[in-house]
Amino acid sequence: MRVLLIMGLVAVLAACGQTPRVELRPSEPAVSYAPLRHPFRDRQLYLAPDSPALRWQNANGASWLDPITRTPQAVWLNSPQDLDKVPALVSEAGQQDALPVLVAYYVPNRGCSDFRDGAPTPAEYVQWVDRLITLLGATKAVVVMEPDAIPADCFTTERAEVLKAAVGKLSEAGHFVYLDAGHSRWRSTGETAERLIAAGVNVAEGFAVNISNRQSTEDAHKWGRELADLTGDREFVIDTSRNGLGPPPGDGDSWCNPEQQGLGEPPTTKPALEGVAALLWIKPPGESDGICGGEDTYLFSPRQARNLIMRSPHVPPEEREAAATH
Amino acid sequence: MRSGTRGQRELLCFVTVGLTVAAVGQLILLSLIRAGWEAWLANVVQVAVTLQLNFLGNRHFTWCRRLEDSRFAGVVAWWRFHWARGASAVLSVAAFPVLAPRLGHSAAYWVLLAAGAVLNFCTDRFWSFGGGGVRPVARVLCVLGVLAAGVFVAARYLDVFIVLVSVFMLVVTVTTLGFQLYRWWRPQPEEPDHRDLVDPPRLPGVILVPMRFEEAVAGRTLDRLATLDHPNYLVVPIVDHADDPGTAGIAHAKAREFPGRVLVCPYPEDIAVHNKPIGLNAALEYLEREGVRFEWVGVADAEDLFHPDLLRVVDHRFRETNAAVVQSGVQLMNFHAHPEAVPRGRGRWWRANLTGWWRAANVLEYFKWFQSRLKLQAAAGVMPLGGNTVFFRHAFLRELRDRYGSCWDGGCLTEDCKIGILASVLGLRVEVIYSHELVTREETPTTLAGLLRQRVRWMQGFIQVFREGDWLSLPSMTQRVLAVYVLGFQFFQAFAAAFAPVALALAIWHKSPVVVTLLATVPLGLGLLAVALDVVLLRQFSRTFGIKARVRDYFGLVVGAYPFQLVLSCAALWAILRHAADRTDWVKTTHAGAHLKPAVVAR
Amino acid sequence: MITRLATVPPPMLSVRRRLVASAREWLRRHRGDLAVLLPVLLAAGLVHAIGMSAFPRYVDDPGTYLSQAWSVRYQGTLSPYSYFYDHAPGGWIQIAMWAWLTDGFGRYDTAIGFGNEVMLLAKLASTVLLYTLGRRLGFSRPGAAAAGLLFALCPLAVMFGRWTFLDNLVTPWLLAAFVLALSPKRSIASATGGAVCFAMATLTKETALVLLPAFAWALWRNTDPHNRAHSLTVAAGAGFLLMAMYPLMAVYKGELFEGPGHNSLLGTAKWQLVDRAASGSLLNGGSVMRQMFTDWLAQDPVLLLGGLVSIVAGFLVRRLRPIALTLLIGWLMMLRGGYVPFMYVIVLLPWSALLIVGAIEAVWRRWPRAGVALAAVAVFGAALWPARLYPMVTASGPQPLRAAEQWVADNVPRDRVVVAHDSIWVDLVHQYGFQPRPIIVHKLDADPAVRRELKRVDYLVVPNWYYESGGGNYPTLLEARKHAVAAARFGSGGDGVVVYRVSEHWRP
Repeated sequence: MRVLLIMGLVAVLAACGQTPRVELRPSEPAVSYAPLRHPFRDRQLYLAPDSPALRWQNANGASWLDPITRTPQAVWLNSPQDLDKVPALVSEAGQQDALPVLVAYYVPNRGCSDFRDGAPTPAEYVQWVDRLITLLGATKAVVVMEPDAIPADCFTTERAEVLKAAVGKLSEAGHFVYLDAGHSRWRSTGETAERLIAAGVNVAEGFAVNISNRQSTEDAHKWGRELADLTGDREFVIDTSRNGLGPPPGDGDSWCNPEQQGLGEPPTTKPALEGVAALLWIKPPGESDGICGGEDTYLFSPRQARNLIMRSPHVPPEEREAAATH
Repeated sequence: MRSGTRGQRELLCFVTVGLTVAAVGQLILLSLIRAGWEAWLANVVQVAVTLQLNFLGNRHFTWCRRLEDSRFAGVVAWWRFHWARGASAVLSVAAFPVLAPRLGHSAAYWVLLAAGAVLNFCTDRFWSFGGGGVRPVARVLCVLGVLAAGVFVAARYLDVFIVLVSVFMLVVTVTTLGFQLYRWWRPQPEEPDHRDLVDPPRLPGVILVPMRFEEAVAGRTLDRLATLDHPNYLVVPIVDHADDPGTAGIAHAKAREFPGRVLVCPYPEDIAVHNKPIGLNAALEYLEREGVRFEWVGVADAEDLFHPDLLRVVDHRFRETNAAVVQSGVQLMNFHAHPEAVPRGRGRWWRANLTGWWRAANVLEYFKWFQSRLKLQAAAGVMPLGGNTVFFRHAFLRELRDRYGSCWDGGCLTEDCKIGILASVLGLRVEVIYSHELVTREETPTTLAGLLRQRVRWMQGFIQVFREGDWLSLPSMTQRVLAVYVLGFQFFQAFAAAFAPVALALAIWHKSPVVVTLLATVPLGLGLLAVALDVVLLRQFSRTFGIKARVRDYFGLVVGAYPFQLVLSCAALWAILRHAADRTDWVKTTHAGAHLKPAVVAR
Repeated sequence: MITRLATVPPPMLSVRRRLVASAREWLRRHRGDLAVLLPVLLAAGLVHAIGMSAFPRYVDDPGTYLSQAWSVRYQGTLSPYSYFYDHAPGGWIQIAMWAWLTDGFGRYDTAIGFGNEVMLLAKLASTVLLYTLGRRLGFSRPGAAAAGLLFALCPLAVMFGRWTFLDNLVTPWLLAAFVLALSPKRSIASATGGAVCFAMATLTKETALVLLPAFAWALWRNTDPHNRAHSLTVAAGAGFLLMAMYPLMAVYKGELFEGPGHNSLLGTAKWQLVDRAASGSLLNGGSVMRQMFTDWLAQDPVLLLGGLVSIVAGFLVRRLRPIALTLLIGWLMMLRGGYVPFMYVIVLLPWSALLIVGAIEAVWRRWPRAGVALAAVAVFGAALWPARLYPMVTASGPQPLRAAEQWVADNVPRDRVVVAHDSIWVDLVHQYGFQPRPIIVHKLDADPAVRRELKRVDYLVVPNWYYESGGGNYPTLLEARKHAVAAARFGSGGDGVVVYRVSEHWRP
């Protein structure tokens, strides 16, 4: 009996002494993120003096194309030949005192087509990036890296390594890298975050959402914000070139030159969206998505451009009217 | 007019004393708290002091005239005062949470204060300083009031109440089961066969047979008692010549038939009360006056047919163990309902069976009591005896008379119980014999009402024995605890059995925590186990005594188990009320001789 | 003439003095047994205890039972979530009682450590009871000690005995039931005690009920005709009453029958018996049951197969028959084809140990040489054991879940919602004070109340096998991981643990 009593007493005393350990002793973070540099702040976007749309406009005297041609857009670098236009771009950007937005689109096995597209080898890709850095020289540009490379099915650790190397070089050279992360209806944020981290998003400026896609800005923002939370609160940009009407109905091939599409919000470096560095037109509007939807080209198509302007809720009614009637 | 003014004066004094003491209490409380005492401690001191002041004030002012020549003025009044005030305080504490939400806090406070004052005045007037002689009616009212207050408090703290009651019932049912199974606790052989006893009996003795209105059975009983196998004993029927000449005549006829064996002893003519202990005491004195030499004294009831070998066994046991008392088993036999026992008429069979359902339970009570409980109690040294087939050493009876003035207590309803307790107090050895061949076969009471009256008498007797407090002189603490248990057992069991389903129903109805409900289930479950055990015992009984138990007997046993306990509970309540009302006259069982038939058949 | 009357000495003088005297008497009588038993206990205890925190790996059930025991101890409820009659609650109530008496959850920095202690005690108690039962079955002292050692040192018993499983608590109750049922005193008390112990076994884990025929047979055979009816009635009544507490509890909670919006005893029983994925029969080559059996044999074939063979011998020896029936029922359950959990083997081990020794002793008595040969075979078989036991006692290094728990404690603010594996749940709540309380992973989708209350999820701390194999059962977990990123990784493979941080913008 006495033993029980003593045991009970000990238990009571010990229970009184028991207080949970609530202080934190954080360990070193597994991934360390470079400080953000906010490249878009107080900058204006570079408007290219030459583009397929502008050439067509000039050739056909189509002033109705103004909503597209007068809006800054990204410049795509898809091959070694495309690098040749970089020196001109550099000098013009200098004259405009504007921030150029480039899209690097030359990763090995681009399009997951058995290495037929993109750089033949990782080494050549890195050389290509080196050349880009050399050509850019002192001009610091925003480089949107490799649309679809990260969410693609053929993403591998090798690709991650290549991207990481490229991101590292560009960032080290002072450029502002945004890795394409896909869009809100493709991969989950968790998986995308893992791939982004593997691809070196920690040294990049952030990631890009919705490139060439038509998810609404709200969805893209929601998704991007979640992703940013998982990737050390990196900034991100949203491609609003063609998302004025949100995603077209249906799935499967509906992404390719759909009837239901319109220009999205005009690009801005002061978006009122938390975590978003800029709204950009990354995909040049009017460019055909491919041989589908009545198009037989990958190049600029006035029909697509007209459609985009005419249906856009962000274009003033008279300009829409102009596009519709010409 | 005179009493009116006295009443007014008392009321005035009571209020004055109350207010003054309240003011003093307030003063004490405040000054103690100011002196740095803890609030609760100050309050306790305040309560203790004001209670004493209140007592003294009321004792010496309010009620002084009533107390002038009362023997209850001192310690008794103090105790009563504290009990009454304590009870009223408990009631008020319990009632406040009930009243407060309905009346508001301050209203509830004042209502309770007023009610408490009225209650205190009444208890002071009629109980604490009431001058001792509390009238029986008031006492019954007190018992009912305490019960009502108990119900009120229980309803307030129902879960706690259910837990307490369940634990209590658990203890009672477990000990009941344990005690009644003592005989079978371990495998052990039956008692040695009495036929193996070869040594001749030696001790001379007498068998006392109190008889009153027993013409139906007296002749047969005396015939049997006179022809037992023992060389040297006397059968002494105690008859009342004036009241009951019929039985007396039979006794005298038998005395003539068995000269030197039957000796008639007259019941003292000068005593108006007729009961067994007086007759037994008188017979003992009569025999001693007559110069009869005897070593032991047996007691038989008028319907008891002793086994012919019984005296040899008792004699042997006395010599072997030198015990003060030998109790031999008594066994009720008629667990059947016999249609012959019911008046002729339509549906005789049905009436017999419908009115006889309790007999099996009654029979088994004896079966368990004499085989198990008595042996355990004998081993433990706390021993209420049975009323007959019990044998005392003459030396023991003389010692009782030297100490207490008489052998059997004429004022006690269960003198048999008391004498057993006295033997235990003296530390004397009590032997129990239970051999199914030797048991004295008896009958169950003729009717259920008879059973009820019998139990009321026993229970009331046990209350008396308890109140007289002889058990307090038992040598060891364990024995005293056991004595409380043994004397209170019938009440505990009655309460536990009757209340087990009620507790469960309350727990379910009140949506008590599941643990509480489960706890409340256990005594009920053990009660069912006890019923199952009764079925086993009835089967054993019917085998042992060669009386076939029919399906309807088992059915009656199972179905009647709870009603039987209810009857016992009623008896317990009745006994308490009778005791409170000071009614101690004898509620006697009548005998019709139903046991004789199976006994004869079994022979 | 004054006769001197006999007096009885006042009985039961002093409780303490009587206790001391009877203890001394007991020690005197059992000197021999103690001399044999204590070394056995020492060996059993050491082999069981050394390395028990590092081996075997964490599995689900120990954490579940410990969280429920914690809930009983600190909250007065049968489960931190709504109790759904997965098992009778007796087992973790016992654990909670021990925790209450000894401040079990406060003494260890992990609940699993406390569970290991309880299992060690259960193992020691089982070994003592096994020895006693052996003696009551007529074994010699060395024989009974051998049975104890076979049971205590068998690699299967060491491995499964270290996990906090209810079956390990059932074993001492069952053994105690048989010990009391075979009591030489044959009193009502021993029969009742046996029945009560058996009822406790079934309340600890209801599966013990299948052994009722064997227990009843043992009890019946040992009762004396003189008090058989009484003993059996009281024993059956008391045992039944105790067992009835479980269904009665369901009745009182209004949860006996299935119905919308509440758990039910019969509903869960139906699921366990009928709907739960069957393990198949042992005789069926490709069944889950056969796979488990193969895994068991890989740990130790000696005790299992030796026991199986000894069943035949057991039925030939009169006093061993109820034990043989017990083991036979155990084996038949594996042929039945219903659901059999992977720790089921625990049920077979003590009876196998008893029967092997019983069979050898029986043969030894009749044909001493054959007996010696059999004993040699058994010893030879047991010679395989040290090699298997060695890694169990030398294992070291923290378990991945334990390391993850430490990381979470160090790095995660206490107000985050953590979805945690059962094994670390108690620690997160009790040691580290996470508030709101972490969510046990398998409750995330199984408990409607949790689903209703779920507003957010911040961290996932569960072993990888949950994502890999158990995916179908944990849709919310998988969905949460889609919105999460690995914050820390411990170990690899199915047992490895990744601490995922879920995006604060995601809502379940």
